[in-house]
Amino acid sequence: MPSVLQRHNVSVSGSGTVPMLFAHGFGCDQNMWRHLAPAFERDFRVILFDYLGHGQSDRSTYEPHRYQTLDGYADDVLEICRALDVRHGVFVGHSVSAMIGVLAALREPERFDRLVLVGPSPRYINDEGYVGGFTRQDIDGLIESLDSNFLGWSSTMAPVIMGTPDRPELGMELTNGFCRTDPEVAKQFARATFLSDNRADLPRVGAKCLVLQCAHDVIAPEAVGRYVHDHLPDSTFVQLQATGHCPNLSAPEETADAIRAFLT
Amino acid sequence: MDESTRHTQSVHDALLEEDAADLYEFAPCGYLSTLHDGLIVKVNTTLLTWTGYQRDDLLQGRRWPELLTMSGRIFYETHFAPLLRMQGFVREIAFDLVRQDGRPMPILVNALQRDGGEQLPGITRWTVFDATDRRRYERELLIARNEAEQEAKTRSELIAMLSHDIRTPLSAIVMATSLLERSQPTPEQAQFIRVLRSSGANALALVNNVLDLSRLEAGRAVLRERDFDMRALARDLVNGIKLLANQKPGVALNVTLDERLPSRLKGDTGKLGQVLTNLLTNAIKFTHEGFVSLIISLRELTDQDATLEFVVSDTGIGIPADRLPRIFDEFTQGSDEIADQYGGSGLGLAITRKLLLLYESELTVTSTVGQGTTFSFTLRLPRAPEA
Repeated sequence: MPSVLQRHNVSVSGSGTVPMLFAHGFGCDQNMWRHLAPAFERDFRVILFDYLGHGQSDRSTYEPHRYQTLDGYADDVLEICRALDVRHGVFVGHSVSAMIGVLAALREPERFDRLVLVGPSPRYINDEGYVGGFTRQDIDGLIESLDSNFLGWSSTMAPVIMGTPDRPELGMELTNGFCRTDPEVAKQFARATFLSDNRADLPRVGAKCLVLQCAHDVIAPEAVGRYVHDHLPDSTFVQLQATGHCPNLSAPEETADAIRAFLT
Repeated sequence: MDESTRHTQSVHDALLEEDAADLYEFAPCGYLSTLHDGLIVKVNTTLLTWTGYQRDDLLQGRRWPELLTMSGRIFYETHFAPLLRMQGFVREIAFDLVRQDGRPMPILVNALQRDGGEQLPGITRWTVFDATDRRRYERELLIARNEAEQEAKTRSELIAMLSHDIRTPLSAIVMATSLLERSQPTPEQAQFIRVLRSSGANALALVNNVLDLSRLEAGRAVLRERDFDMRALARDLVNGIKLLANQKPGVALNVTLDERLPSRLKGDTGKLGQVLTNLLTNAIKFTHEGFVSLIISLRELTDQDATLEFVVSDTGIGIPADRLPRIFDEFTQGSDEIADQYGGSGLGLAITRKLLLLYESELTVTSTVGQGTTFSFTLRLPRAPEA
């Protein structure tokens, strides 16, 4: 059995001593952090990883029963922390990984003193007195559409890669990252993510939290970000200019500035 | 330039411009341009016709992903948008567009990001194809595949059930025949009993093979691993086969075991035994003079496991080159005459190959007609503690 660091394709960089772990969200891999993570290498020990079945992780060690809920992903985060002896560190979680970080922090509070939650949502499906933004039918439709799109990815992406000889690094990234997200894994991650309900976990978090809210974010609308902020005991809310769901890619500088302000 | 030339030139220019605009507006695909955040700034008539929106509906603050179904928007935000940001383009992703009247329309989407200059914002250019037909084909294909899989499963279950039901009475016949043999039959009766015994045994072997194969095909065969001694296994196997080899006085049976073989390994001895027995009995069957040899050598040894190479060669009749690629298919033999002359069902090698696949090991073969055949495979087996 390969080590946990090999299984999750963990990379450690930076010259700081305080560990700063970046967790990617649904649909991506650690490439997500490529424009943001380097900004923290001077002051932190930057840790990147892929969830199993994503990016360059070891798909063969994926056990479906472990990932029925987000707890399995939180276990993975904690296993990586144990292997690297992470204590009193910073957790940066994008999208669903914000709640995975919350779960990890509740289970082993000594690992992270501060949580940076980028586009968090404790529950995606609407409920009585709560607007998450989605219905159960939306989620079922997503899981169904994953099939046709992964079908499409595998057949149409190869010529795309071959067709960019002038920018070979892009082809590499695609082969190594997106193309290799396993469709079965993606479907299970989608289910675990979008059917989760972590509202009751928020008031129990002891760590200092930063909620980074984007404009026009359909995955995590502003009302949801506010909800997270209101229910965390120690939280800072920052509204970014960036639009969409991935400020780490669309506005890395603004995102880095907000995180840096929170950490100092 | 005189008046008439000028006139021709301007008509030509007008036509060119008209053509380009016309092509953009009425192309058989939807075109639109957005800012990088999805805000629509330009859209062609085709897309408006498809969706039923007025141009003004879309150019006043609407974002492109807002025209997709909610599930499509999740995929867009979590997969499409990040990929587009990272590599600057995305091709052929399936979405459903929501028309103004609420009806969905299957589409394929391509996007290309164009960076703006110092003063200008970046623009993303989108090409949208109507995928209604393609989506229908995909769905039909999926249904056809599911039906075919279901059919294959039913057939394989039927074969398993039939074989099992045939095997029980057949075993009884074979057993009763051997009892009959001991009841002091007359020489004539003994002759009939011999026919009965050999036909019964052949039929039983065939049914067992069919059962093995259907079990392997249904994915029901699993590895049952235990600690064992490779040398002892090889010795027992060869002792079992000697009887057969002795019927062919011109054929020598040679066994060579690597001295460095670790004494204890972990593996499925039943399946390994079946594989080697299949290959050795085949080799003996098709060899009339010369030798049949089994060589087991150590290829690699680590603290955890040992990689062994197994080679079974013979100086038999060989397999024609055009038959080699299909030799592992079910019900296939070296030639049609072989079935008549040597008997057998052509299932042995198919089973052998499938058994080895359980170990992710590939059975390879080389052969020259009239000179002989060599089968080989490697197995990586975990080492077991010394007994």
